[in-house]
Amino acid sequence: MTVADDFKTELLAAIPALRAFAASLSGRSGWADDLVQETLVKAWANRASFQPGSRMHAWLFTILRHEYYSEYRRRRHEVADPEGLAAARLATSPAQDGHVAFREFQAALATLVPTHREALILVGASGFSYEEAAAIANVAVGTMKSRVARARSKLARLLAPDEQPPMAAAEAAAADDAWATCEGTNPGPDR
Amino acid sequence: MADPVRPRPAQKPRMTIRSSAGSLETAPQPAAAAKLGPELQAHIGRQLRSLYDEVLKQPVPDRLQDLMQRLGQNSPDRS
Repeated sequence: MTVADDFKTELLAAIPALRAFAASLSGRSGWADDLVQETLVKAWANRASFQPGSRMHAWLFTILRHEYYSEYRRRRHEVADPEGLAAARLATSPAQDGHVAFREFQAALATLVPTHREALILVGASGFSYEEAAAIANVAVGTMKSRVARARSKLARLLAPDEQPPMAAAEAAAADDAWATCEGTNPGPDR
Repeated sequence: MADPVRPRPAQKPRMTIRSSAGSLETAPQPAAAAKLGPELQAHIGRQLRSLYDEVLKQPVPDRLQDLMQRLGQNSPDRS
């Protein structure tokens, strides 16, 4: 067993989490596996910079999100998936709440600003703490908390529009700011 | 002719998913589980984890398995 073998074993073990992150972030199955593939290649090429003992998932997620935002800026003018979301194809069996609710949720998630969607996924599904998620996204902890809150709030409005107050102008402006931040997304620590 | 009952979206989505965003606009009835604040938040949490976990428990696709096989085959540092 060599150091390279150990690294490879850890990398292999991380693939399911990377795919889940990529699929929920990008909403497109083909794109998700492209992102994971790029992430694995880059991680392998940069394996010397990985600190053994640190949390490999966080390191890999940082690489993957950087790939996503780079590619997102190139692809954002493309026509969106006409069938809705490829994540629906990736996740073939519906949630316990029913298929319609699941599709609605996926559609709503796809309308979030990417940095907000990412925040929600990292904290709400990947199991990272706010501190870890903030480190992955290279932002302050307060910013991460704010993104998660805004993501939850917008999803709530979309999924139950009659139960929620209309979006305040200030919040809409903040969402635009977040979008601008995404536009200028700084490269992750792997660059 | 404009449909007078069609609700206006609160904000124009910047990343448009046409059919899904359209269905959100035209079919505003929320999911059965999505009702009030805490319940709605719990619903969102469940759906998010459900989406994530569905992919998480899938086997690693062949193309990624193959990639992992190839990684390091030309690498000189297997010491």
